[in-house]
Amino acid sequence: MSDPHVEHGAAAHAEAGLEHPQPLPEGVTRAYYAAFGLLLLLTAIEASTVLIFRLPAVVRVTVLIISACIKATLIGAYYMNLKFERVAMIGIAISPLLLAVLMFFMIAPDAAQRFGAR
Amino acid sequence: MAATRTHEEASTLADRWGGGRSPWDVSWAKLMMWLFLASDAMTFAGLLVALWANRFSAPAWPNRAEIFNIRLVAGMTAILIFSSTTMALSVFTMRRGLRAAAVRFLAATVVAGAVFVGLQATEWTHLIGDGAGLAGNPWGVPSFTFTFFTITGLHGLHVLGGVIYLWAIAVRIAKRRSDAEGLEIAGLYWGFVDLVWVFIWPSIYLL
Repeated sequence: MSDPHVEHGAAAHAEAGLEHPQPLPEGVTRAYYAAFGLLLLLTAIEASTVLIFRLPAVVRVTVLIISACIKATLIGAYYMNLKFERVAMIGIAISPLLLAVLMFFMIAPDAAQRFGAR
Repeated sequence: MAATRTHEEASTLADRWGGGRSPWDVSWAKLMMWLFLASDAMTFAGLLVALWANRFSAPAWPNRAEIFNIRLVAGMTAILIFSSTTMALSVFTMRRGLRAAAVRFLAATVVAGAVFVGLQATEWTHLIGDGAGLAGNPWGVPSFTFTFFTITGLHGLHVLGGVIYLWAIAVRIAKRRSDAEGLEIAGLYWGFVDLVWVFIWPSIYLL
């Protein structure tokens, strides 16, 4: 048995969501400026690992990886509005990064073997 | 004529898809942009993994600080971060109904994106002038410039495409032909372009 009210209700809801999106909270602009400042600071720290400091390779690599992860989180959370999305959407956004890490560890042994064979 | 659904079908859609007609109550256009970005992220992930596989299998890798102008590229990174901030502010103001302010922030984003592309073109010109190409370079590691031109080239094309996309959206917003949803979807694309650069910049220039 059909129920046209359910269908109509869903359509109306979808249209309302499309044409009149909820305004973002007022305080979010402060978060944008804070993210901007933090991203610039992290970029300066990253550049300084090559231009100013002579750090051991392991420290430099650790600093750069942690910095890139923090920057990616800030951009995803605030500039791509993932902070205001459902958890499932965050899962979609993060999955390529996890797969890239997996792919790297799948390829790394082969690459290392090629290096060792030289 | 639209097909009618049984109550069972409709409730299943509501339970499984959340939004009734749309997964997680997200508009189809926004969901399609997310799916495109996920697949595009896979492309860049594959390229960066290929870069690292080449790094690991090469006996030596040229010293980037001697080849590239790291200060210039740090400046390019800052410009991209600035453009992401103005993009986010454009979406924020548009969601509040401030159309003129949204267009101004969008114009700032377009200008910053164009400056980034211009600086990248300058960097490429210098490198090509030094004798670097896809097949070889003066530093004796062909895969160094092959990966450099491929990855920064694809990213640069994304920025250039984004500049055109945002320009078109700015015109549409100004003429009241596009809404906050369209701008937010464009903002997702621009945020992604910045997000990818977050990983390209240390991988190619710093590590």
